[in-house]
Amino acid sequence: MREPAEPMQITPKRFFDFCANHVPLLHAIAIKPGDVSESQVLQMIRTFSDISAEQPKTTWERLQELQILVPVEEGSSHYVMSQPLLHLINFLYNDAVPTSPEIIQGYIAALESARKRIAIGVETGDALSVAMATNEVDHTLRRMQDDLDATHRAVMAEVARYKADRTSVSVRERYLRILSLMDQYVHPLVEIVRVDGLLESTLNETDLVLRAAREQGVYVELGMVERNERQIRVLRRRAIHTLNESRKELQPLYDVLRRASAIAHGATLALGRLRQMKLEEWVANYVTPTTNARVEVPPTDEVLRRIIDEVISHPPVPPPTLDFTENADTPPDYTRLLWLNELPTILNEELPVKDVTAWLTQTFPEKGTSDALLGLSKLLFDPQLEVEFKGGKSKLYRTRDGQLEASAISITKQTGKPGRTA
Amino acid sequence: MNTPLPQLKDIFDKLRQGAYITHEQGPLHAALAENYEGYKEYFEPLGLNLIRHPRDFFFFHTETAEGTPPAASLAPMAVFSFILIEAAANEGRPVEEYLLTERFTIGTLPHLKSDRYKAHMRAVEVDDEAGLRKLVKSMATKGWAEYATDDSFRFLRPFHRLFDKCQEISMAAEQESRSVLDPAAPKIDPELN
Repeated sequence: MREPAEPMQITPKRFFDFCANHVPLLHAIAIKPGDVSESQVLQMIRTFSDISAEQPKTTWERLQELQILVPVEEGSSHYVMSQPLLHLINFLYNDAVPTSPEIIQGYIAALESARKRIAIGVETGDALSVAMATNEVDHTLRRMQDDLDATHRAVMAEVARYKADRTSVSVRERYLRILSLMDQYVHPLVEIVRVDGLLESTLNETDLVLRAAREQGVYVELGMVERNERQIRVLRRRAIHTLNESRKELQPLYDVLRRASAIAHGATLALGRLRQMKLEEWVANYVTPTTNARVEVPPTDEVLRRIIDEVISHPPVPPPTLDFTENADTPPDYTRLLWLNELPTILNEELPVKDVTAWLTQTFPEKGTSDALLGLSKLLFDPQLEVEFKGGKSKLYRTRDGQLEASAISITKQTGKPGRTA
Repeated sequence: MNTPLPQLKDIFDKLRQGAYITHEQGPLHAALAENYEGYKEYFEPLGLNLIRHPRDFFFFHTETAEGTPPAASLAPMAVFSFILIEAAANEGRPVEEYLLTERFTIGTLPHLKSDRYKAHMRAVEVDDEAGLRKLVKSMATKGWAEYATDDSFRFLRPFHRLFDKCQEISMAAEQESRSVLDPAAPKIDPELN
């Protein structure tokens, strides 16, 4: 069994020479999300490297030797790019990952913790604690500013990507990317770094304890304290400026894409409902109405003057008079209608009537069978009258042109009036 | 009336048919743009509200139209437009810019190219290129589009009313789903700070 070879020492020159010869490959690995397997790396080597100059296997070995790729964990066959190189590549390509509000809140918590330690150190005269905490403040402030800058770079990169590549992804997807940057990063970060926000109060308090440390001479290395004070001033000014710049970059796209996305969403919704609704209902809900005016001519002064003149000069005509008396010329249908309408009132004066058919044929002997039946129907279905079918033996009733055979029907009272029994 | 309103009859004839007056109707548009308030005041007593859209075109709106459903003859135009908007968005195009600057030809339209779109068009009784052509011509009559003799057409500014309608539909749907999911959920406020 062969002994594992001693790892070759990484010299800066070897490292940077390799990187210089494999820039596209390194960038491709850097921007690939998650980890990569050996086969994936070999595939990328074939795509992005000059395989005539160097065998893929050799490139793969160099990537490991130079610790450009490191296993996710000891013995794993999945690799990630080492963090320092990843940062360098992001820096060179101006690529950046936006910082989440939670990370900034973490920094603020770290600042708060360091501030407390400085305050206690100043009180107890513990110079070492003050020195360590001040150093921590320095690191935290730098990282916070770096991360806010990275957020700004990420926003700029996304905006540039949007402007450069306008057709490869759908409006909705682009809108969601911009929306997520705005709502998940920029907006909450502005809330944190705004003048009355969490960051400002922490910076103020940290500033106070640093001044106390300087004034009370607990901490002799004044350079560090002063640098922290300067950094706080810079961060206070730059943080809000950086985020406002990000917001300015995003806002126009956010507005345009928000409208574009809503338009596409609305159209899709309307089309989807077309299958589910009746067409008239769909039209009422989803169609833009137009106005058709019923006026055919615009009423110009001339038209109005003419109409007014016509009205003024029109000779008065008496209203028509209507003749309500019946005579030989009155149409029989109209006469019948008048009789039927009056019938309940005439009957009402006779109530109670034990046999309405007998009453009808005897009171109006001049009426034929069809009129008698119409009259009976009118009375039987009148909602104001209480009708009762007596049953029993049927009788014959004579009309002008025939006879009716029926059992007795009584009408005892009119609804709403005092009852009268049969 | 003190000052005579120029082009009154032509303007009225156009608007009363439910059409729009855009820059394409040069003198009519110029007259309206010059004295919008004057024309608006003139038509008001007739129950006709003259609207000037933010995109600079004019149309009539009446209160009676508010309560009356739109004419069924507008359905094919709406379906046609919604399909075009959806197709443009799916291709990743900037919808408004694309639809208002591009010149289209009947043969290249997406309406008869997928089963789903064909079904939508069939629902409004359009199932071939001749039907599409007739539809585009009727849109041109209304002032939505401009039809050229080479069988091409382009949309005019009143098409913005379609965009407005889509936005309205989307907002109503979002409002509805928000109130169902979480009645207390805050609105997305694009204005930060």
